[in-house]
Amino acid sequence: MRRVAKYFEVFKVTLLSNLAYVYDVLARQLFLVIVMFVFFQLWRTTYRWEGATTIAGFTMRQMIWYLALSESMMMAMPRSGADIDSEVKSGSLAYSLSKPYKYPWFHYARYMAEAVVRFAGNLLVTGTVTWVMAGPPVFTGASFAAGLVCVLLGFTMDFWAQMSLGLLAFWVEDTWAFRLFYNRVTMLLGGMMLPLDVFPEWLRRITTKLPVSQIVYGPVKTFLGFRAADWASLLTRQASWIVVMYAIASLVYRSGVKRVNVQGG
Amino acid sequence: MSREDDATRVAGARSRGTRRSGLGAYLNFIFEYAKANLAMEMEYRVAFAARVFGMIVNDLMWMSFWILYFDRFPVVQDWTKADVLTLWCVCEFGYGIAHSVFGNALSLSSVIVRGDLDFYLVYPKDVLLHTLVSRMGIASLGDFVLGPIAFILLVRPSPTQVGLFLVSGVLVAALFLGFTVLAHSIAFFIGNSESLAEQVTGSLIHFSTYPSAIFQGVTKALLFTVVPAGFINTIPVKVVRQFDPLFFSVTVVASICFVAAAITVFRTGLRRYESGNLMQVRM
Repeated sequence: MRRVAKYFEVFKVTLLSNLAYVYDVLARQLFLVIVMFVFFQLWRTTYRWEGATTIAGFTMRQMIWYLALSESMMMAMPRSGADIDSEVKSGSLAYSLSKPYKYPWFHYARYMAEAVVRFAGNLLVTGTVTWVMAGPPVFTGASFAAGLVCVLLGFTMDFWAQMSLGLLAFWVEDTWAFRLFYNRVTMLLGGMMLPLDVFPEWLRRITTKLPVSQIVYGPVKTFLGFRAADWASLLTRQASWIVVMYAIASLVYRSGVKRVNVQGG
Repeated sequence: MSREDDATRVAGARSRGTRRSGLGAYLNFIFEYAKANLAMEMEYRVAFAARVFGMIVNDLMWMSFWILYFDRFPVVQDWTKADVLTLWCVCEFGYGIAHSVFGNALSLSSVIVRGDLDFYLVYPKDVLLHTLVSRMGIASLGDFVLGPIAFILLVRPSPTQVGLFLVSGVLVAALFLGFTVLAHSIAFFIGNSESLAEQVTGSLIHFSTYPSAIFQGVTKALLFTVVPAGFINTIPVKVVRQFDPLFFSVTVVASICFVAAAITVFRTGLRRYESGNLMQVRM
């Protein structure tokens, strides 16, 4: 229990330090307003031009709320991979090894705290803009609660993926390209830009099997329509992927730490 | 020793060796700096290649989104897949020119706030130009390379369209660069504004990469005045697809105006600039 408590303290301290600058966090969301405005213009034109009331099962309001939620989630994910990359390259990771905590779990606690604050701020901004432009939310209390659980698991999946990519700095000069590629795959194939339901059938069948679709698409779909069986299935898939991603990150971490040389001074 | 110092010495030595005057001297200065920056970045070959290819993959992913979108909805407000791909290619090419050669533009507000302009003030070259070229945006080289290649391969244009595309790319570069310098020069007047400048610059890129046809009314008016994205995202239909001499002329004038405004605002701000009294060891 005490092992978990120290990471909970890290979570709490990071959460409080992020909340101390909550207005600054909100002021940085101007870009999200623009993103939502442009999405709204694009989809309004598309629905009008197609003369359709639903596209791939989404009404216009559902589509805009889907994008508001997916955008809020993606933009909430801290760039932990970049921090880990720079700590490996600068050597500051070596200092962490002597501290009474596990380096990956320390970063996980920080990541989750930052992501939670950012997600709340993003949702406040995108939700307000979406409500004004497209109408009230399409989720119920139950679907919102179920969606939040999936969002936390989605963040966890993203963190362990970023941890593995950041730790690649033990072997390569710069992990930027890997991290950028992962981010773009999550955005496109994970369903941030378009719900997977809009994809051609062959691509949809592939993407629903990929872990990235459980990071964004799965949680956001839960917000829009909660069904207990689907939810349980999503939680199982997310939990399985978390185990796999954690195992990979641990393996990379253990192999990488063997390469650390600590010298006095 | 910073990379900027290295590049300054190399470029300075070379431009002293070939003294020219006026525009020729400035072009030579930019060229020598770009060469020196490139040579330095190539020292880290793996990182260099990773950044360039990383950006190419990033751009291809974005274009894939639009391909998927237009496969599902073939025509949206008279825009086709070819138009939106042209838009992305011209944006990549223009952005690539602007932020590879003038790679410090996106860090300009930080340079101003940290007092790092002191370094450039003691040199005889134009302060703004010197600051902008002192760093190369390596990832942007990926944009620069991919833009024209993807345009030729995906859009299959006529030779005239290729010519119009290349000219349009230069205009887009001028608009991106002028607007970026304007946004970052706010730091002279309100101090710490890196985040604001980043968001304002990000808005230009965001608006520029969506079809002009989806914007109407006040938004459209703003995109042809405050944020010059309207000029950029109209290029595919009014320059490349069907050449409109009036729109093209207005875009040329707008590009010149934004660059001129950027230079004027930067110079006005520079008069208010107070040295950071920065103490650094430069070897």
